[in-house]
Amino acid sequence: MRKRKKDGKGYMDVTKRAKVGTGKLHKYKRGELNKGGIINKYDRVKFNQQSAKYQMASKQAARAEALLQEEAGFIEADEGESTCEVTQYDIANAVDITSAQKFFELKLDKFGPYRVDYSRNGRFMLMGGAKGHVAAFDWQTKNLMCEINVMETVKDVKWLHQETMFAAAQKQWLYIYDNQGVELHCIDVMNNILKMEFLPYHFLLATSSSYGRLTYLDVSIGKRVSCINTNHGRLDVMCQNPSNAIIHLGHSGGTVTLWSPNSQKPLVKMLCHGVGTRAIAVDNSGNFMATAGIDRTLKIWDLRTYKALHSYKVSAGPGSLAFSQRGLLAAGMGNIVEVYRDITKSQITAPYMMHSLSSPVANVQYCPYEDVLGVGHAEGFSSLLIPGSGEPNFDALEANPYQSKKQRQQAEVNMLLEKIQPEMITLDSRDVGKVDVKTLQEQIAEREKIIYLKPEKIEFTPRKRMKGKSKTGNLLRRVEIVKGRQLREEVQSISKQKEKLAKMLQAENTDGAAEVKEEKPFNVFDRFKRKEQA
Amino acid sequence: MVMIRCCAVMEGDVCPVAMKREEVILLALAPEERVPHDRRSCSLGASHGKALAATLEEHQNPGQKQGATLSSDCGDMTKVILLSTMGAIEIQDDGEEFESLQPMAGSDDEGQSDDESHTKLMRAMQKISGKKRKGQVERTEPSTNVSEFVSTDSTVHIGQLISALKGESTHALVKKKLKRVSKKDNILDIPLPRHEQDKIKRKVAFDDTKTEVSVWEPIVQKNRIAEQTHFPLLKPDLKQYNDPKNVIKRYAPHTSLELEVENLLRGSQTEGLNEDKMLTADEEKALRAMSLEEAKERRDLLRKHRALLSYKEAKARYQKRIKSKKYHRIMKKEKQKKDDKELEHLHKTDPEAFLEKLDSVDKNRIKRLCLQERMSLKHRGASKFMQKQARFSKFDEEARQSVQDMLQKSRQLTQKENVDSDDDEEEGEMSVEVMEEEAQVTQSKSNPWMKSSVKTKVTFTKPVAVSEKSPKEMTEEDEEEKEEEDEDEEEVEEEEDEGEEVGEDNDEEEEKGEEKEEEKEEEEEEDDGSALTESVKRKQKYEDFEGDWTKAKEVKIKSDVKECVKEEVTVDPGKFMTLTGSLRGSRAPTVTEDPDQLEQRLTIAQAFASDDVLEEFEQEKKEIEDAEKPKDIDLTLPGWGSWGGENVKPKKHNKFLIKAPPAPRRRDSSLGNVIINEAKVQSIAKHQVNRLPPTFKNVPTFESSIRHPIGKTWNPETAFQNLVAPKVVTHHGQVIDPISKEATLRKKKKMDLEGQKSSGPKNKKRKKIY
Repeated sequence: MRKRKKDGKGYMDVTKRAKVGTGKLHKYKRGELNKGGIINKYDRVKFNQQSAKYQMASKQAARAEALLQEEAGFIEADEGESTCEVTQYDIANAVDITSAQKFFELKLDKFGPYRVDYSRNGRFMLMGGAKGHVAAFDWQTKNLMCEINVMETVKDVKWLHQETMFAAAQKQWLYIYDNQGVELHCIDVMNNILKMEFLPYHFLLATSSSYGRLTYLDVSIGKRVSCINTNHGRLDVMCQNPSNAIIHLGHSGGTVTLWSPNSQKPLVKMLCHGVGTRAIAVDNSGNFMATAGIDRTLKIWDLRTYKALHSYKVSAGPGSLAFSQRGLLAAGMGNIVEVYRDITKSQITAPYMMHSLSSPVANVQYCPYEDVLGVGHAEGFSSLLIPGSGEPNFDALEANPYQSKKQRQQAEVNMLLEKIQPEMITLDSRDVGKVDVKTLQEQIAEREKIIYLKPEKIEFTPRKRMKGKSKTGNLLRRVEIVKGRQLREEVQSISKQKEKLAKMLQAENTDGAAEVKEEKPFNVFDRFKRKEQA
Repeated sequence: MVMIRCCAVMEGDVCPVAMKREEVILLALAPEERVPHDRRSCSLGASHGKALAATLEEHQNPGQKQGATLSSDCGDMTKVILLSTMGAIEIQDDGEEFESLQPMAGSDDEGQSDDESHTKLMRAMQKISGKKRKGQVERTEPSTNVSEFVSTDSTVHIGQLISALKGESTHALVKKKLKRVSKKDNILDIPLPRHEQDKIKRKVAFDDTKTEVSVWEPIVQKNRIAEQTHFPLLKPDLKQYNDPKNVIKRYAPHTSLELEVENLLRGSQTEGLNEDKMLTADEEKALRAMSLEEAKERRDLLRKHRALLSYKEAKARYQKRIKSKKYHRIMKKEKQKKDDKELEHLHKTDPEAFLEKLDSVDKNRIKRLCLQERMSLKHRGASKFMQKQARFSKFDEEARQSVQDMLQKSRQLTQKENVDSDDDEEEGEMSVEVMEEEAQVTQSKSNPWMKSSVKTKVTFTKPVAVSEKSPKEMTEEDEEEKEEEDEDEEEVEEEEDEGEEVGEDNDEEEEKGEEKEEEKEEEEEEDDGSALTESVKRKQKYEDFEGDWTKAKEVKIKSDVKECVKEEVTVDPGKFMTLTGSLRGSRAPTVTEDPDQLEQRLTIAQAFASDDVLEEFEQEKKEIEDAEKPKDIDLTLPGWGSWGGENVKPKKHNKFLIKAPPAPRRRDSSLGNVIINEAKVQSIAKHQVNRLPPTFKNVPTFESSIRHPIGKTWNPETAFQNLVAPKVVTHHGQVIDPISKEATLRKKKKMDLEGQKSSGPKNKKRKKIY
């Protein structure tokens, strides 16, 4: 089947697949192909077949990008104007009615300042006022799920894996409520919590307390996985790296520490500011970190090299930072919210958007899959329109904003089945696919030791005995006897080890998984043993 | 039957080789000289007066215990006494031996000698059983009593043995037999030992099997390497099945209805289903109906038409190729005349059609002009006249006017038709470009995010405002804009003139700017209250500044910024604290969280002088580095090898110090402000592979073999199906026969033949795969 191309350059074979650009392909490639070191011809052919399959898979994935129909766009300013002059009202007037509805404000001046959190699919919002007001609702329909007053200070609120449960860090303990506001658990082993982060793939709720304790709670089994004494004092600056589930903590000395539940010491400690750190945020790719210091500096760091990329002096020290899915950085400073675009890519000269509120900002948080920034402040909550902030194409298997109840239940089961164990949290999330080279080398060294094992020289000086027993001949004989016995024993043990190793190697060569059974000499009483069933 | 076999002969011992009841005992003599003569001699007697023969054997299997001695009554030669040392002679059947020996002796008629021989035998046996063995006696003195069988030679030949029988006619038979024996070609080789025979048999069998099996080798290889194997391997041969003849057979009419239809068809003229003929009866009839002349006539007509057509085509081609302008002009005029005539004619006959035609002609003309203008840019500066006028336009007003006119004309010419809407009249002389842009703006009004695609040259007010304003206002605005545009153009010209000057000033200005920034920072640190207002002021200045810059300058500054960043990224912890950028247009908050708190924070911040923080951090890093370094092991015993006392320093003994290997390079060694924990993560080690599969000999290859996840979550459906495709595919309910040699090999042969026929490279390719 052939079809004429419009430009008249010739024929294009329609049956052939369209070529995929190298840039796109690179995105889906998982590391470089490495040949060599395969001696067997058959194995080499098989390896090549498999790698061809991998290549095909990444090509297919790159091709599938054509299915992503939605496009993201930013506001572009005319010459001489800047986008930060565009107000929320301008945008709301210009956009369609459904989008305009997403710009709203909740005036709740009695229980402020509010902390907010969006559910993973961006559909539901949770807000907790410092004076005990906790409310959860579908923020698009404004459908209230629950509204309670816990009659205690609320430090932080966080959705758990789904919109059915949320955690609230209260004055003393951590509480877990369902979406009707019913208290499900009071976790008294976690007290005086200031900030929380939920790691959705691990089902871990990471909390930092005023006593400098970082605690991980597995919410799927209700077990405290790890409790780390950071020795850094009050921990009120915290964020997670969404790509590798590492927790970043900011400290008063200007340092930022990186933690995993598997280590009692920080994995990395960075000195980011000369003075205290006020806020941290890590972008979705996990490659960049933004930090804000008390000295009104905002810095962008590359987490692959741990080097600073850019540094800015802002008009006030940002008290909260947040990266959107598409890399827009929001900073709340005083009553102003500023949004920066392409801040990780290049040195910028002006903010992308700006909005001033009536009261100081407590918390900024982007809504996933929407061009919306939620700002919790002392007098309530405002939802701002930030064009280009959200990912326009959602993966319904990952997070579905339009999921039904059945789908939600199914998703919960799937999430639990695909839960990642906390031991897998490392700085480099690709570590699982790597060979443990250290152990491998040790093993090889040990094996070689056995292979080249030799009986050691025996030195024996016989004891002197009285009454003519220590004649030279007798002495020599005694020495010979002892040496011979020892040598025999040693040789026997060595040969046993070598046999064992040979068996192990053989088993490895035939079947890697086969375990080596130790053969014991037949005992008389073994005849009474039960026969092993095959 | 008694068989006595000798295992070996050694050092002067005599060895019987075989003895049968009525046959010969063969003896061999060892060649050693130190053996006493009497012992060396050997003789054999044959029973039943039969022949005696002896062959010599070279001694094999030297061993201490082996050897046999045999002595006999030399003169008589009828009696055999067997003496043997232990172990030398294998007696196959002990009981039988003696039984057979006795009759052997007894067959000779002397009873006495029988008894005697028996006793001797018994004695000999006793000797055998006794453990004591006589030492070899050496001959020490010459004696005349030398055995007749002794030769100086170490070997004994048959002839020597026979020589004993010289001149005796009684032993003719023996002689004959010996002669026969001595002929070598009659002697069969000694059969090879069984294990050797087995070895040869095995080898032959192996070779046979190998050739038989090796036929399968390529097939097995192919099947092993194949990514997927479908069973049954051999597909049914569909060629036979799909053969047209067979297919037709399958469609033969069977039912009564089918038969009826078939008959009908056979009977019809138009649908004659005659397999032999090409044409149906009707067609043949039609063919016959046309006469030859008619056909010829028709053919001629067709030929004529074709010739005319080709002639016309050739003419047109030729005309097209003519380059003469004059010719074309004439032709055009002719055409014009013709058209005019037609028009006139139309005007008289059909006024409506005439109007239509006139309209279309006009449109075509405008289009052509527009195209011409756009191509040639005659009125937009491409013509020489225009260029000249433009050059003088600065000084000469007329020239300027003429340029304006020409531009105007160009605009008019290139104006698109669809622009002629109602708004056009109101907007008057607005340029086409502006119009286009506005059109785009109105289009994108519905989607404000998509504005990025519109690149406006003329500054517009906000789209909302545009929609709200009345048309009158708009016209006013537009006029203003136009004026601005003109001004801009002028400015551009001026800038071009002054470009060099600006370039010279750039450096100075930059330096000033840097100084100012530095000052700014200092001031901010000094007092925060004033800094806010200051920054606002500065900002304005900055903007003014920027407005004057030409593009070239902007680029320069940008590159400077990059350098700054680079410097900052370097290791020096002193530098990483420096600031690079500041944000223009950033607004200071009017309401802060809690002014007191902020102040408090700032004082705390000041309390932490950045130097202290740095020093502290460096100290901590150093401590950690030291703690993680491998340490030297000191084996000195305190007090040993050194003097004690108050003012005595303990001596360092280097020979008791085991030096630690140098520490591996830390990941954070080049990063002043980072401490990276180098301890091995035990938790992940559980899940990691710590032993390479035997297939792989290096780590990166193995890692790249497991680098791609295989799962629906990470792969598109098609790729996933491909990745998890089963190695073997069977079909439910289909019998899988064992592989058939005939079919498979035949197929392969065929393929090989085809391959040879078709081309060489194909074969090569196949070879490469295996």
